[in-house]
Amino acid sequence: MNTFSRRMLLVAGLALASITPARAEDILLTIETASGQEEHFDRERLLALPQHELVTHTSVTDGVQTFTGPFMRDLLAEAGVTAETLTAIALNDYQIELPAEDFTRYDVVAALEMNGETLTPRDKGPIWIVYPRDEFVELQDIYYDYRWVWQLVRLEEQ
Amino acid sequence: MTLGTLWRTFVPLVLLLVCIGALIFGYLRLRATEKAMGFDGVTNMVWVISQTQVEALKMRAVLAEDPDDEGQIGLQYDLLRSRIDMLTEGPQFRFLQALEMAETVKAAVQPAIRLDPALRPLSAAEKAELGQEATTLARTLNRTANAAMVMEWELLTTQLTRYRTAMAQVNYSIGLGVVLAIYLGWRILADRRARLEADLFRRQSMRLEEDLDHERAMVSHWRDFAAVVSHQFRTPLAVIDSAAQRLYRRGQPASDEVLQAKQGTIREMVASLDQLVDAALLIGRMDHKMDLPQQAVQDLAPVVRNMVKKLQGRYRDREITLSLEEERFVAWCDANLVQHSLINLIDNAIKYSPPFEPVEVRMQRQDNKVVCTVADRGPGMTDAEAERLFQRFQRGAGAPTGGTGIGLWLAQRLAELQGGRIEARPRPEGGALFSLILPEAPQDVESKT
Repeated sequence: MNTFSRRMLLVAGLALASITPARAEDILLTIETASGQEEHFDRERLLALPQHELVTHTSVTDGVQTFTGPFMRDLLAEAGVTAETLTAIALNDYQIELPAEDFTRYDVVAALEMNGETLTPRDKGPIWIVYPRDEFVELQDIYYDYRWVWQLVRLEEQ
Repeated sequence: MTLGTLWRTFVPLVLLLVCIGALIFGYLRLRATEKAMGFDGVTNMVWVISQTQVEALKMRAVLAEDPDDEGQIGLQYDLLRSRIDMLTEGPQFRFLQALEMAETVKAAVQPAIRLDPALRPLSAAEKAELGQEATTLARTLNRTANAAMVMEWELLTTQLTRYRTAMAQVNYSIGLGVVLAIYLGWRILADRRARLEADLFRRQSMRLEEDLDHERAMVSHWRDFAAVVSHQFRTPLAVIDSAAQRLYRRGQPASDEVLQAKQGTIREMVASLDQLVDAALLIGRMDHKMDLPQQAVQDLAPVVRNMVKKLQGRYRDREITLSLEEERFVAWCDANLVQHSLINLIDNAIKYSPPFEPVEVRMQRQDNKVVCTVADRGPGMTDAEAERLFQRFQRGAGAPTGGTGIGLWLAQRLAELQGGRIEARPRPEGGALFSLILPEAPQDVESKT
């Protein structure tokens, strides 16, 4: 039934664990470039990027939702990521590979807010990767649904 | 509508419609299947449930490992709550309702929701209770995941059965379409072959008919010829016979004068028989379209000059004169037929006029026509005679013995074949005038007809 491949990866600890405890609370997202260098983003740095609003349905909620946050391509450009494939890792160790092409072809948003409220780990925060599902028919498919990573905390350049 | 027409038009039309209908049905069925293919949002439920189960088990593990690590407990609780919230809202919750597990799950998550460390710090007992409830929740979710898996497989099986049915229908409709198309194609080819055969048959019949017409013409020709022979040959033959008998009358040879006279008569009769044969053959061929006039624009002056010279040679004791008003007389005609026609007129003039009188041939041009007139000084004719003059086997009142009654008729027929005519009228000074009138150019013929 779920034709896409899914891998559970046992990682020693969360990405957060590698960060100094003092800053751990502030950092929402870590992006590791191909060279192994890590770029840390706190809310301030994420909000400094151009913010966009995306109104769309999702596959796990009812009704239309309004998401706010930077475009994924702006975020990756800010971190200096140029690779074609990225690994996205969530708080619960959910790990998935994302083609960077998605972010140039579609206005994919790294949502920080849903319906005006900040996303938290209790919900689907700190970051939910949201595709413009309503705008493109091809995105209304499970093939893209599994790329909607929520509770995103880490991106690794392949 | 006859049965044949029905079979030829109505049945193929219906078959064509059925063929097209089958293909359209197949196409629509494929389109519908294509649209139905794909997963709806809740086919991922086993994963959603099991992830919640995992977070519940991790919650218990974190609590057991270090009950005092509030930060870690809070983070893990957030993860568990996010899963619980997701499972109990929207499409996910509706799926649980369809599974008839909604109430069970809702009841199982209630203690975990109540023991939220973000609302107030949990006591040690409450932490132990949360761990216990997480274990219970994990067990409930395990059963739910089982049920979800079964349901998803059932849904998938139903869906696949539907696809298979659709594919079978598409296969049948395409098969039917192809079979009908093959049949129609065969019918088209068969009809075409039948048409070709009919066409061939028709052409063969036409050729046969042409052959038959030709044969009929031949038969007709020879019948006419036989008629002429039986009717006309008797007189000259009788004359020849009588002349021959005279040669040996009463057992003694005739005198030299009688002999010469009878020889002359016999030769004359043979010549007219010869002429009869020629005329009968020629007209017969023309009448039955076995020969057609070979008409061309040509100068008749040399033709007539040669012909007159030839006749002068034949009739040495007669005077035949020729006068041409112009150097050239161009006409639309068949020179051979013109000669035939004129020879007949001149022969006629010689026959019907006294031996010492001349026969005059004159060529002139009148109103875009070439006119060749033969003048004699014979008995001439009355109006009643002029009317019957050109009928077959008609002979003038004072006709000499050698006539066949076919000469003028033949001359007129030949003139008409070329779009011309022969006019006969009395010569004012006595005798007769016969004029052969021919067009100068083909247009004159057309404008006349």
